[in-house]
Amino acid sequence: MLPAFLYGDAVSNQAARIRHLLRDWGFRSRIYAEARDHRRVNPGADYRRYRGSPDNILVYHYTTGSAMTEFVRQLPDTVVIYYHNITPPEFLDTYNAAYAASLEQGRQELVLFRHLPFALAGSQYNRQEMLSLGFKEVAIMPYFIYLDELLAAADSSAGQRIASDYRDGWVNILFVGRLAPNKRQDDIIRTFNYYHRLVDCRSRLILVGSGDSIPEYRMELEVMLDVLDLQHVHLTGEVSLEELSGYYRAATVFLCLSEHEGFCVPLLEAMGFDIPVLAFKATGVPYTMGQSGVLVKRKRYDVIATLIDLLAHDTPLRRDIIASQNRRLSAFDHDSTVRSLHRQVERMMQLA
Amino acid sequence: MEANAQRVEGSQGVTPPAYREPGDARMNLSEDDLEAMIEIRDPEIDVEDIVPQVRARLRAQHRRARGIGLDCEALARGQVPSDRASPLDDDLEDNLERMRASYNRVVVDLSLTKSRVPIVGPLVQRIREPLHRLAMYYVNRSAGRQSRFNAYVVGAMANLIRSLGEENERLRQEISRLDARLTNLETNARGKRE
Repeated sequence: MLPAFLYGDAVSNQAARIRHLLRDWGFRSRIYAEARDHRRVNPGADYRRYRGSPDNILVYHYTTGSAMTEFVRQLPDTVVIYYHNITPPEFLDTYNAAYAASLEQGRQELVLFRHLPFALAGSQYNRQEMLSLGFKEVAIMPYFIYLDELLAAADSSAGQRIASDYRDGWVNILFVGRLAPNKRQDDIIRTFNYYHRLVDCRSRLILVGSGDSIPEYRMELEVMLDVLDLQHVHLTGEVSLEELSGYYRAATVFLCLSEHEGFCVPLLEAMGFDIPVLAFKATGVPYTMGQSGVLVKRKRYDVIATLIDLLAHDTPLRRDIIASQNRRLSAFDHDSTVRSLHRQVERMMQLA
Repeated sequence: MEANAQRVEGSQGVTPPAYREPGDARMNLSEDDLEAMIEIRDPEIDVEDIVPQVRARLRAQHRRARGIGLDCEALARGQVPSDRASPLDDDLEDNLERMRASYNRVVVDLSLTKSRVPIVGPLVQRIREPLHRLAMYYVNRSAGRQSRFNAYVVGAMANLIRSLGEENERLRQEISRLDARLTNLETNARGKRE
């Protein structure tokens, strides 16, 4: 059960993959949601139609405040919270007060579930947060990373078209994520401003992600580009899997300056395409990166731009960083993630 | 900047992005500064090997910026580079620069002095803080709307100034061409009289 079962969203993809595997293992499994995206082949059912039972195990994907929380609390099921982290509402206060209020509600209501004997977290960072709130037993259920599908999609006509459009010897700096204040695409633009003007004018910045959830922030980014008179910045909006793969294939460096991430799947996707990752060390990002990539602890745009320069060309540093990333990816291979899910399901069955 | 970095490390109490000071502008970073800033956790890669390369490139960038009249410090702080001849006078240019730097700095932060009332001071503080935060919530909602409006104004001004600059340049070239033609005509006319 989750508040929104969307198309192309990491949490929704995770819920869908878990449903698929549970069915493979012989369980009956359905997804219930408040908001359902009908671009999905199987968009699930409205959560208000769900009839609870003490024989059922309900995995509640916890991502925001929602009327669903009170609904879940009343159910007789064995409830397992799967926490994907919630953006701190301070990031959204001045953009969308209602959305910020629902985030605040979500953060406050999380503690209502800490009495449960078992819970899941999408990352070590999320797990630590839950333990600090008083949750007793929290296991990490890693995210499935669809690298095989992404790499195959890169060979599609759409993927190849995008990759060839950008394969012109220029440095392509990429970030993937919806346009949101916590993801700090404005800082990425400031960094690119420095890089493009003082390091390498044969460069472009590609920001892949929808700007629909917080249009005010997208507008601020567009104003920033006007004020800076900065060319060669592409805000792609929402893209298909094939197009996303094409952008990964075209990218030279992946730059993440987010100030709040629960996990950040695109970091690993970039690693899968042998793109060196440079990221700001904040919240869940260093946990996802492990011992790979390059982290910066302060946002000096000149230093970040210089690191991009070192990583963008065929230098020993670029090769070493890519090698460290390939080692990191082995912790997220599909089979070990499936085994992890199997363990968690067995644990949940013990509690039921 | 260190305080700023500490603020963003955790997931709570982060100052909204548009209202932070964008970066530490001190230009001459030491090797210690850079080593403290860059983290590579792979034990096979030594940050100390990279830092001299970063410093050398930063120095080269600063020299390049000076050579082409770009304000390196402004760029390092994420601001508009003053790299082109402005069609405006200095005062107007200064005001526009201040506007660009501050259009989204409208949010208020909590500014609560400690209560010095003896004995009941902590209780007074516990009452005052949520009241202040409640007021801030509504003020900052309005500030957000103001910030949106300011952004529209700044964007419109930036486009207007750019258009004016382009039009000025076009007119300057036209005047130059007409001047040259007039000079040519006068020269021809003088030649015929003689």
